[in-house]
Amino acid sequence: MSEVSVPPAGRKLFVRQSSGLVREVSVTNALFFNAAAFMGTGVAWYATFYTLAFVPIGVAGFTTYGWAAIIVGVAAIFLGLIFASFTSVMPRSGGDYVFTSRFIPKAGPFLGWVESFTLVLASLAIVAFEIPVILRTVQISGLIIGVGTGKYFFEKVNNWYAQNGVITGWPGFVASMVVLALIFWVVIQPTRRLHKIVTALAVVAIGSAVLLFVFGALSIHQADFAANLPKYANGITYSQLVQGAESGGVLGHGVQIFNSLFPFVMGVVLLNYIGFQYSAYIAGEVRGNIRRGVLIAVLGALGVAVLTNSVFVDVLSRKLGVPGQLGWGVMFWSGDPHTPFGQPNTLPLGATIAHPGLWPVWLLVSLGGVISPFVLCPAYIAFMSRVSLAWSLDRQVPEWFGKVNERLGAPINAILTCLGIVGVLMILMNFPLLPDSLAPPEGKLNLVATLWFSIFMAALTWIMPAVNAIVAPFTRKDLMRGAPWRLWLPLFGLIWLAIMAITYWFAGIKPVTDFVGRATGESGLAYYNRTGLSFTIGAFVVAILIYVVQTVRNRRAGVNLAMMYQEIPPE
Amino acid sequence: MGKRGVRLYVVSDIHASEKAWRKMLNAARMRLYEADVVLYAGDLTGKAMVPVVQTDRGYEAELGGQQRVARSEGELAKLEQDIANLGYYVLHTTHDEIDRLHGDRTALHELFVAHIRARVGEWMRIAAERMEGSGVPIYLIPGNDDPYDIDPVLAASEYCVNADGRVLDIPGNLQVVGSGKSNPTPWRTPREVPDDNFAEELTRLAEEARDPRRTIFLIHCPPHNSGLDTAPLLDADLRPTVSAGDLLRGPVGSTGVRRAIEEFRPLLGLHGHIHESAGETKLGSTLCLNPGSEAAFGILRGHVIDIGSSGVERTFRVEG
Repeated sequence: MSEVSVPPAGRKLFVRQSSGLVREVSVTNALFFNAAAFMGTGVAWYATFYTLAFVPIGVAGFTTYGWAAIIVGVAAIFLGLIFASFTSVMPRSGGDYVFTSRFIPKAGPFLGWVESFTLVLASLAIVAFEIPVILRTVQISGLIIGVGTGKYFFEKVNNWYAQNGVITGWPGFVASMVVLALIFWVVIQPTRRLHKIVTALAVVAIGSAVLLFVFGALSIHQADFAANLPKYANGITYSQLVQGAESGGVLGHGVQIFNSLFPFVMGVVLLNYIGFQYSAYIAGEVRGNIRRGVLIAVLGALGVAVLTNSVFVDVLSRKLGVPGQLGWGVMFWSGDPHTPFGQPNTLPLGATIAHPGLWPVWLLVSLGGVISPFVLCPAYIAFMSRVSLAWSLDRQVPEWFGKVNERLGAPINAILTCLGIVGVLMILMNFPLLPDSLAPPEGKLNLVATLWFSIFMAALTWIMPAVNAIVAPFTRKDLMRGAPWRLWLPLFGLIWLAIMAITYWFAGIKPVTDFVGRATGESGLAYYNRTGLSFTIGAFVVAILIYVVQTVRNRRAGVNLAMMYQEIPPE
Repeated sequence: MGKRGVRLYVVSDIHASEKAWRKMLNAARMRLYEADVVLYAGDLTGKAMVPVVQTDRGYEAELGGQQRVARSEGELAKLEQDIANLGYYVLHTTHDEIDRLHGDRTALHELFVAHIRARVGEWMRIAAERMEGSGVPIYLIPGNDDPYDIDPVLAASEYCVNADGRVLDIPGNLQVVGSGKSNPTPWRTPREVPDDNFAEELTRLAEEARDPRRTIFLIHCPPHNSGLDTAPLLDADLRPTVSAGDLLRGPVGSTGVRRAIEEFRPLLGLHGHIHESAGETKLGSTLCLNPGSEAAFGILRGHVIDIGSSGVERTFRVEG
């Protein structure tokens, strides 16, 4: 075996004048956007996510959430390296679908399909979740103006596109459709304009995060927050928030990593981290030194994710008082009528209460908080359109699904389907069209309540890259021969798989078998419906059904699926 | 041919990758795809030469940004094979010679031509050896990257048929109209032609065909804005432009090819040229496709197309 070492300078290739070769891609741009894209709700809402899992959050340096972000982040380094290795030998659009379908013998196309289909559904559910977040953050921006200026109009923001203060019904639906239309408008822009728009939005999103951190760290104090809160929030005191945290079961004492509740928090972090792997896909476009380029794009984006989910949110939350943030958050998620302002504890809102004189700064940040979940949506739609193109070429879906529209240069049918599904989810979220048994208590789809088990829908997305890393060096020996870190891939896969197994066992499977949170007299089916597990199982069933139907169609059309992935002897 | 008419296996843009060429031949002669005809849509030649220098450590070369050292004949053979599989040419040389070549473009060009002709010639020889008696003809065209120096080598091939600039009968009562040219690129490749001239050339060729509905355009360059020609947009330094975390991409195909297809309306348009733009599309009634290429990674991508009496019956992508 010839040895590999660090190259000396000067003895490179002789390249033909008319080579068609292009120069190395700058990955810093990729890093910048990918960091912005998966921040999503983050800039404003990270502190609210502390209590999404309804488990105790304590402080030991970092909060429990912060420690989960760090631990998952460190583990995700292995995932990043796995993706980077794969994309360097198979630089193809389509995400992990491409790898699973090609690396796993026989069952690969099926597993790849189910993995990517459920990821697409999970992503669409996240887009549908982000739209009300965008709307609420607009309301909160109005609240900030109201607090800062005392203008009555801006104190009544909870009635903006809302019914009895809740974004629902026709007002909520119409507002959601406006946001969806804006997303569609962005997605169908010509390439250069699309990139200018998204880059500008990403600059604003990241800029607002930086602004919040700098001004927040310097100017807000818990004492000020506690003193001002009753004045602006109808007499609610800081002590009442802390009491809310205690009665909500989210006030932790210290941080316990090795208990069965910590994986719940890791699950929430994973949800926030969906999207960092998109930065791995740009790695396939890197020329020249792949390892260096990938390390910047993939691990850089991951580093930003860890910093924002730990240092950024914990420093600011401590400035406002962590127990108070926990109480406010759990009151919001549980629909407590005493929730301050009837809104979540976004960091810009908390900062405004603590230091109302700087309301223009907090307003800018809050508007950045409107933009950052918005930026995520076109990125998701673009990614899903590439996956659907890969499906179409592999005949996993009918050809028309991946057909590229000439004028737009994009698979418009796939894009419209994705947006259509989001539209359907918006209808189900705003109108009581579902049976109460399926969507308690009012028959409206509650994506927050189902978020916990929506994590289940992304299970294969998190697990299959580990499986691929373990098997690919053996099942695709020839292909993987030149892959970076080839000898280490099975170990990377095992480490990531172990962490996912622990997370999904404690945060997913065990709560289901233990009926965690089951109400007295609640049947098993009602429990599964309420928590969204039925929805998740249904998604897997639909995926399998589509695969079966498409397989039958392909066979009838004479398409030999076994031929499509057949190995060819190279000698 | 049997019930399903004739089955075509289409490959493109192997760019001197030894592994990919051998895979193509094996796929054809072993009937892995049950193909009756192989059509190769252009770009046979490689883009670079890798200097391999003998030192006191062994044979040294830089490959993929990393230094490789082969300490034995076996390791050297492996290194040479890796270079060839990437689609590059091995240049056994010395440091002094490398320095000289960096300053002598004429000598460098002559070396390239010699290596290119040698590999193409070797490929034609292997094809004749392996495909003899298989009953599967191979029709190929050079692509815009291929210098005209290979044309005599292709003409001398005992098995592969060069369809460039010709209208040929192929099995299945079909005809192929071949062209390996492209519209102008940033690299001023050997076989470029302005779009207007391209359209005229293709129209003149197509007029020799009997029946558009039984004619296949085997044209290396894809039609403009077809989805088969979407490539990274480059800046003045030939660097792909990244924006908002993604590459800026745009159509780079030929308006001349598009015009010719829209006017002549052949049964099928088979293209290559843009490796990352694999796909299928319809221009009017003509199905156009680009199998894409990952030959440098050892992956052979292709397309299988069944043509019956009434036209294209099915297509699907294959890779191995």
